[in-house]
Amino acid sequence: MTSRPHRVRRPTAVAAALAVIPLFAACGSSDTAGASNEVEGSTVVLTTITSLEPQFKEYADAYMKEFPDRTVEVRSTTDDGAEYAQQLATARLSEDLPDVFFNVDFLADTLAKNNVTLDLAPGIEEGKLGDLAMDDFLPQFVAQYRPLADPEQVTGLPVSADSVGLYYNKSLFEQAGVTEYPEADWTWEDMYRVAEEIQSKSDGAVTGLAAPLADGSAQIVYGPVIQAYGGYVYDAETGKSGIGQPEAVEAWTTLLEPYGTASGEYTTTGDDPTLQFSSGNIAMAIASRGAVPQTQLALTDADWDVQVLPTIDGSSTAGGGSYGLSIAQTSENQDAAWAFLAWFYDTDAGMKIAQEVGGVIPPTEDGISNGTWKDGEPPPASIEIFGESARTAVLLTQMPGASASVMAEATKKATQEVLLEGRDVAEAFQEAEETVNAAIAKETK
Amino acid sequence: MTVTPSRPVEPPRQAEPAERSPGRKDRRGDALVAALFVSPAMLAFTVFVIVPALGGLVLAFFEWDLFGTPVFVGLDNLARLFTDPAMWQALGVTALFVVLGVIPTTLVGFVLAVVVNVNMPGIGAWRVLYFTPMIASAAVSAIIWVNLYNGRSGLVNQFLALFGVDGPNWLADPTWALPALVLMMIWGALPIVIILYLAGLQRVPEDIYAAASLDGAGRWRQLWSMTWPNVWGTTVLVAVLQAVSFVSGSFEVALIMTDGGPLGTTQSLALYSYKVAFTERDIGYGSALSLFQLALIIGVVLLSRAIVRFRKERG
Amino acid sequence: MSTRLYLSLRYALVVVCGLVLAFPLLFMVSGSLKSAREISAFPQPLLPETPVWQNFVDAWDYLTPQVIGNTFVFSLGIVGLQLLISLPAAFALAKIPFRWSAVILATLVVPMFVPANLTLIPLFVVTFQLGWLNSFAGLIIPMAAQCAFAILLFRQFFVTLPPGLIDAARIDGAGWLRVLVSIALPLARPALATFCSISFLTAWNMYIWPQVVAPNPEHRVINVALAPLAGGENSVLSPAIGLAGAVLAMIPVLIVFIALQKWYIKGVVGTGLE
Repeated sequence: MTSRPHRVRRPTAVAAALAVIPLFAACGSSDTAGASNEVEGSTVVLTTITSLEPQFKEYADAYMKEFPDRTVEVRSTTDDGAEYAQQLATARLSEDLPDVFFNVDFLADTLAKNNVTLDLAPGIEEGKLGDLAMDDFLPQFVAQYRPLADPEQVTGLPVSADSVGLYYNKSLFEQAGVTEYPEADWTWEDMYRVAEEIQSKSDGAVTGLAAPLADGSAQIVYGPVIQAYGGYVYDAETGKSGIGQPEAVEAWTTLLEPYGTASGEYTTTGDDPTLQFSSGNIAMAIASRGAVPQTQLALTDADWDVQVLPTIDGSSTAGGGSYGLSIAQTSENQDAAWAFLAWFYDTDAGMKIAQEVGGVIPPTEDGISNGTWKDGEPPPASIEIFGESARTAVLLTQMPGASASVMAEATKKATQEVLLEGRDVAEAFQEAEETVNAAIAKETK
Repeated sequence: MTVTPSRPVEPPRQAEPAERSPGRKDRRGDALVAALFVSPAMLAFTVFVIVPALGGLVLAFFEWDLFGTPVFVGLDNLARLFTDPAMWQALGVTALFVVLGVIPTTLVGFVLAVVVNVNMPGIGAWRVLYFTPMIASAAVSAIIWVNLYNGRSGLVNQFLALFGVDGPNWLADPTWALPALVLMMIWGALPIVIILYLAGLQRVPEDIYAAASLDGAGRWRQLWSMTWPNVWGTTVLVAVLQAVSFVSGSFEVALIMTDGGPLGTTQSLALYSYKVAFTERDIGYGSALSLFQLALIIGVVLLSRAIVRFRKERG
Repeated sequence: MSTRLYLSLRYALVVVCGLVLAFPLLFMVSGSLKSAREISAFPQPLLPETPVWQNFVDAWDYLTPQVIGNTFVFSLGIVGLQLLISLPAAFALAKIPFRWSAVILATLVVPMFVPANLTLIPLFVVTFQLGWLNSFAGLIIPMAAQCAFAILLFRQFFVTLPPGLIDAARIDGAGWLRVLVSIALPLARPALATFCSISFLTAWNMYIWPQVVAPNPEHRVINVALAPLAGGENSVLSPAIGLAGAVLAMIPVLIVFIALQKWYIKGVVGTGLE
């Protein structure tokens, strides 16, 4: 190449690039009210994540069969949280948000704060969900979608009252010559003891217990454990995280114990195949109800079941959470969107199909007690334990802005420091707590 | 039995036109035609590459969470760069990715291209195998390599066990995770390198081999003394593309397979920037990281060119 | 060492290296025929016990003629447009002496180091401002404009053309366009084939851009259509169906590679014998 001095000056390009910036905010502060149009003859666009698309297509088909004049178009974007946020943001910039869309704990607060999601509370009050009232939903699942700044609002409705259970593979217990199956009154010590026994008796060929903390960011597991020890993940009143407090450190110590003895080696990602119960190589695993369909598909020749999670100091350690459905504030089909939601949450209509197809547990008291979700073919024979644990589950904590994502990174880093570098547990997690608190402070300033 | 080539080999001229005729002034007509030829591409490139790139980099001076209104914060994000230990670690990781990745990919790709550049019965079908790593998406490749690298049951460690070597738990080992990812990335990058070299090899004049040796050692020497200088232009292109891909393009692999871990040992600047921008939704700082990376690369290129020029002038 | 022995050894080398490189992919093809139990098992068996062809039937359900047609329009549109704008630009940069060529080259290379995920949203905004959302123009043109690789590749090829060839034609009074079309292009066949295969593959595999810029079903391309098969914690489908979809999607790409091969391997070069 030549050695002539470069003069890459492109004033026009710079000006154009600067002009792009304000567009990012095109509708940032506007609170354009959506509109309500006719329900009959309407088309509602529903966006979800890709792995849920097949089941949502079936729900939409059933709806359109019942109401031939209405259309629900299901689209899916991605399965990755970061990409999903990005694509929602682009849809918003072009004022082309879907009418109904997937919402999730770590996004809910940001979407609410920026007027993306509609407050559903007044609509439900007005009877837009038919007979369903807010009180019919399990309150702790709805609480995930109450904005921190205004807890009177509800910006999303949970789809399934999912909680975690202890999955266990009886065939692998037998193979290792262990006959002590999980019981409802087990403690974490019992779980570790039996897991270790299986792992050593099988000479390491069978993993006793998929590492409960996984890669270090499994909040659905560590949250309730911290709480059982008397600690807290996030205190909404003080606006502080407590993951480095003495009670939490006790919890971390328990959670970090089984690697290599009762569980496999540490893995850097949570979806590593060595952590998947469906691999048929794991005697016990803590997993969500949502994993039941995959497990049924995969473990065709094993005898497996589920049990409620073991306790710590007498407290349940079951975590729970649910993705939700939200309506866009800017939607011009809000009545049609409501009509679809009213059908979807009806125990005898949408929820009936959702239970059959997706194994969904209706997030309502009536649905849990009287739904068909527990009538499926076993295994798992004891599926009804998920009903009980949904009622008592400790839910993922709603945290300001993106601080929950920062926390996932921070606890993962601390986990690696302890396991791979031998750092002191208290020191590692106190530092993680500082990182999280700094992120919270930034979000709320 | 080695025979040296009978005549020195002159690599084809690849100098810049501008250097080839330094004294000559642009002819007005030529310049007009050149402008006509170049302008459609440059117009499209400006609108859809340069403006968005500047748009992305300008965000380094703002605070933005994807959904709210961007707030101008001046140099705050850039100042934060220098006090962020994770940034310095990521910078080191990027450097390691480039050093361990670019040169092996280029050399192995060149040798493999020469190997398959042969006319034999059925060769076409075999040659297609060399292109297959490129076809699989990052997500699909990741599934396969996670299986291969598993500490206990992976094929890599089973193979090493044949020689009595007790392999590590590759992807969770702070020492071995990065080399393991680099190996996988080299595998994924080889097809494009092979294809580019194959095209380059077709332009190597055949008569340069005329009197060359036919035995193994001679062929190996001929490869480096005659073929290699003749594809130098391709090598430059390949090196640039591979530098791009190891610096920024391939962060996807690390994201899926190790999430930048363990202990940040596979977190390159590009991955760190992605995570900051889209997982932690701090677009401003993510953009500042990218801006810093770009500045460093431009700095390294300018510096190396200055060194080359300095040497030329001295020598 | 005899030439015969050398050639056999070389053939063996070609086959072994090819199999090593292709192993992960063969593993994927084998995976596409596994049962849900086998595909979830860890460690995964190398081969399925009995091939489950149903995986392909299930994956096929996600592909409509329209999706396949869209993907062809999208991919061929990008390849065609890139050829149209890059060839003249590359030729000018390589063979026509003019003052700005070095500056333009630098301008092409530098943005390559800006991460694509950072430019995605600004690129989206530009496309939106042009009113091209949910259209083939919006799908194709912004991607065709990512032409730095094409220009660098072609320029590199044109630079190696003997100057005498072009000077002779110029002296005969041929215009630059004529030189490009009737002299440079025919000689650039290997580069053309190389570019077409790489560019077609890249476009065919694109996922995020089509997803963002044209989310409506009328413009859906193959990877977007197959995405729901990729699996995930909540999925109710076997991951093997996702692999079957990936195998189906790569068939056209393989065909392009095989078809273009003849173009970039010109003959007996490899033997080193004449």
